[in-house]
Amino acid sequence: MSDTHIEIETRSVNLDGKALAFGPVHFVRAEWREQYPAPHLVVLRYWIDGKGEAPLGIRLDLDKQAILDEIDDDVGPDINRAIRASVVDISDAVAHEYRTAVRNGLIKLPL
Amino acid sequence: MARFYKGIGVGTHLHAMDLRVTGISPRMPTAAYSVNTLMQHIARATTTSCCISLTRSYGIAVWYARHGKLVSAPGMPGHVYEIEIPDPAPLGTTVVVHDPVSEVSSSYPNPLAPSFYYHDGDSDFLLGVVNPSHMKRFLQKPVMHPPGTAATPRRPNLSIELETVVRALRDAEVLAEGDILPAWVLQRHDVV
Repeated sequence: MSDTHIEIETRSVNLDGKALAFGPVHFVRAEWREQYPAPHLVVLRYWIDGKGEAPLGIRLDLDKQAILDEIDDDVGPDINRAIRASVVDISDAVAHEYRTAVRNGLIKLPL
Repeated sequence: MARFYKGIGVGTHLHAMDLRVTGISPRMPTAAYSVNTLMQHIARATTTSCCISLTRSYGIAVWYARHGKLVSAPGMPGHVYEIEIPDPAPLGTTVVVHDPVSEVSSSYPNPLAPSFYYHDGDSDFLLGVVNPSHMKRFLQKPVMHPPGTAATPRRPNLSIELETVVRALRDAEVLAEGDILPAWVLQRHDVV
């Protein structure tokens, strides 16, 4: 491995238990892939009642505090509106779980 | 000619297409353009507009390409496209490239006007604007006032104009209004 090799890792924090539920949609995980561990843009993975984990997620821009995609698994516009309206709470939950993971040594910061 | 980049994440609506064949169209091509459209697009992620977001930075495009509706992985790459828009645009094409920094600043031509895009916080305030996910504390420091001034305690002013300028500089971002033709999309790189 050369000195300039850049290790890109997929990282995630668990959101299960943060009560991020909107009707049948339950956010379970935030994933991101960066050289440095701090997330700015994450993919929110979710469960739908009766269907299990959806094969795709939706993007959350933490800096803009904006949800960039809609859930299109027949959950309806009201659920997507409710998710967008809660973007600050969702962003705070992701940031809190990230800080907790760093504090507990689950995510290592570069030296 | 300037070289621009566009990052496309796995599972997003453009990922299934080869933009070298299809070109790129805005999500709402018939919508009218204004500086407010530009600010909402860049600062509020209201990307359903007449504009297409491009960056001058390959690194920024990679960052967006890694984050689609799934994070990229070996065997499931995102894409970064290299784009060159002719200057001037050929006859019959209508694309206009908007520089957010220039357009926002030129909408405030008079530095003596009472309303402006500058903040009134301290020198760390911009760190919070650049990186609010992890430096939010710098946005929350109370604004300082001269001695003898009676004022309600508050945080510094952060206008959408300042957010737009900072985000555009952070992401080296410009907006293209109109269609990007297939011939202008030169290369595609896989990104994991």
